[in-house]
Amino acid sequence: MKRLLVVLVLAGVLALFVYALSREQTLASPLVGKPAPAFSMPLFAADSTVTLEKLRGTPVVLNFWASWCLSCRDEAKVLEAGWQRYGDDVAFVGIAVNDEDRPAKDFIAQYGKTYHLGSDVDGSVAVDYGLYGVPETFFIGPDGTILSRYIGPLTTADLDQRIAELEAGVTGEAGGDPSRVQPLSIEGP
Amino acid sequence: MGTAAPAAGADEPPPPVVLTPAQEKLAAEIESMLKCPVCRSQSVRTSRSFMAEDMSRRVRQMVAEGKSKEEIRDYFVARYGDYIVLAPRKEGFAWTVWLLPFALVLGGAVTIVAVARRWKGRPPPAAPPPPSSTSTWMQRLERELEETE
Repeated sequence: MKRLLVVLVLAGVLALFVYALSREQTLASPLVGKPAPAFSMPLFAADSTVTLEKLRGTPVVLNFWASWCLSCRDEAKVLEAGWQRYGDDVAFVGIAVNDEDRPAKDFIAQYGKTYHLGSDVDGSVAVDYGLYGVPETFFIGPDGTILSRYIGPLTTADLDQRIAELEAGVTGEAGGDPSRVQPLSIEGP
Repeated sequence: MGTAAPAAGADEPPPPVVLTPAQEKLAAEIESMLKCPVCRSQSVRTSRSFMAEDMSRRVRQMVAEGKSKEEIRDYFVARYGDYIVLAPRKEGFAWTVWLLPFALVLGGAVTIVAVARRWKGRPPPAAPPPPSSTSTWMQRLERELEETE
């Protein structure tokens, strides 16, 4: 009986440690199911600004990226092809994080990106969305509610599935590949 | 809430948020309380990562707006989850984190005392038997001594 008690206590302690270690690796965002934080972002390509408010009524694919991010290269063409395929039915917005003007514009030109692309220069949008790294993508319903978050580079199949969930107004499961996210841990000057 | 910079891709760093000494103290306290999400066991105050800098800027903006410590803490928890706070709240399941170390130390002390008492109660181990003069070696020695005499 005593041994059983000791084993149970040890198992409980171990379970707590596993829980503590695993919760930092979770894909889920507390923002899912909540209103998406508003943002206003000037665009690279035109002398205009995109706001989340202006996109109300349209499902939004909000992607955070950076020109220095290797995984972002893998999904760059997937996002552009998605934008071309869905047209005005789905708004695609790309926000460059911790990036500089020239490399970001070169990246856009290299991958032929044509959707709404701007820069979060002061990092405020990244913090508002609880970002860890890039790439990360939030799927926002027409009413402005975050329906899912995907971390890591998107594949065409993942993108199509998430957009189908967006159009159906269904909250999606957290998904992605955390090992392919490049954290925003670069040290400043 | 979020507003990006006035010009897309502008490389100039955002202007610093100027605070009063009292606000500086509050901002420092909050930054020390928040975990840098992309660092290993570092607070926003001690980390030099870009992410921590962005979070620090947001803390300072909110302090300048007159937000309370609780409001700022809730803002970050709503975005990153409870783990963004280095010291968890003293409520609900989070109490386990505070109480478990004390429970483990207490349990360890009780175990040590119990084991020590058990050892104390045991009879001392029996002394090894004295060497027998009838051993083969002694018999041989005695025989040889007799022969030399």
